[in-house]
Amino acid sequence: MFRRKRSEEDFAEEIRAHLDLEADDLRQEGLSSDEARWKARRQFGNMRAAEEHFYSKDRWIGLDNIRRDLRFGLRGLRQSPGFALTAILTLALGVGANTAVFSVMNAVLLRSLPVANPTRLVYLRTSNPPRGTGTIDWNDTFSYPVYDALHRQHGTLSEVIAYAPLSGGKVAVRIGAEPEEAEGDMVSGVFRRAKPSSNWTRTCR
Amino acid sequence: MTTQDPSRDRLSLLQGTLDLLILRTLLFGPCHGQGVARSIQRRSEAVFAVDHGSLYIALQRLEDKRWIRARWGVSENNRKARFYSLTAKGREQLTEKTTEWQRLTRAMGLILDSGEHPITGEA
Repeated sequence: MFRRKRSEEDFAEEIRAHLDLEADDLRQEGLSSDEARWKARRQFGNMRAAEEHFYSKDRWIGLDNIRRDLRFGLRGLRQSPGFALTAILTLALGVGANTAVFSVMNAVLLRSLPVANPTRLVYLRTSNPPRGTGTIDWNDTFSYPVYDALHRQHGTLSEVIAYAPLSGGKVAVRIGAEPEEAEGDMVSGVFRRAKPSSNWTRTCR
Repeated sequence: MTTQDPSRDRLSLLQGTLDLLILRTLLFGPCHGQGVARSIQRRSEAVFAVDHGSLYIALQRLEDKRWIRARWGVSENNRKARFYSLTAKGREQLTEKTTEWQRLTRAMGLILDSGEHPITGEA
C-alpha cells in the first residue's frame, strides 16, 4: 500500500505550529510576547537541521544532487545561448575530428599492417635499457643474441621479425622507371614467412 | 515553570527511549508534538530534555512505521496543530517495548544495587 509522501511544506508547517503553541504556553507562564516567541524558537534547536533530515529521508541524496547540478548547468546554458552554442559546436567539432582521425589511423596503421594477423602483432621494447654500453642504449633496440634467443623460443611468439635502419636518412629506390627517395630498413629472414601483404613485398624488394 | 531550564541538570535521552516515551504519551489520547514534548518533560519531573527537532523526526519515523497516525486539527487554544494518535500496531509495540525496558532496568538495578563482590559472589 502506498501513501502519498508527506510534503516538506507540511513538515515546516508543523514546526511553525509547534513554535506558536510553545510561545502561547510560555506567555501563559508570564513571558512577554517577544520573549516567548524567541524562547520557543531557541528551545526548538536547529530547525533547518530537522527540515533537512525530513527532506533527506527516503531519498537518494546523491541522485538528488546530480539532478540539481544538471538543472543548474542547463539553466546557466539557457541564460547565455552564445556560450552554449560555442561550447556545443566546440564539442561537436572535437568529437568529429577525433572520430575522423581515428578512422584514418585505424584503417592505415592498425588494419593494414603488413602481416597475416595484425591483431596478434606485438612490438617488443625493454623498460630499462642499459646505459652507456655501446650501441644498445635505446629501449626498442636489442642485440643480435637477444633476437636470436627470442627467435628460437617458440612458446610465446610464433615468429620474430627484426629490422635495422638501412641508413640514417633516406635511400634511393626506383619505382618502375621513376627514381625515388624512401626510408629503408633491413629486415630479418622470416619477414616473408610472416606473410606481409603484397604491397609491402613490392616496396621492400 | 518553563519547558527548559539550562541551570538544572538534565539527562539526554538514551537511544530508542524517545520512541517509547512518545508511544506512552499518546496512550492517553491524541496529542500534538508540542504537547508530547511538554508532557514528557513534565512527567519526568524535568529530568529529560526533549530536543524538539529530534522529537518531530521521531514522530515522523513512527508515523512511517504506522505505529502512530497524524491528522491536522485545532488545539484547545484555537491553533492549527498536527495531532498524533496510536494505531493498533503502536499499542502492540508499546506493550512490547515497555516489557523490554522493564527487564532492562531490572537487570541494571540487580547489578548496580547488589552488595556482592562481582567475582567471588560474597556479600
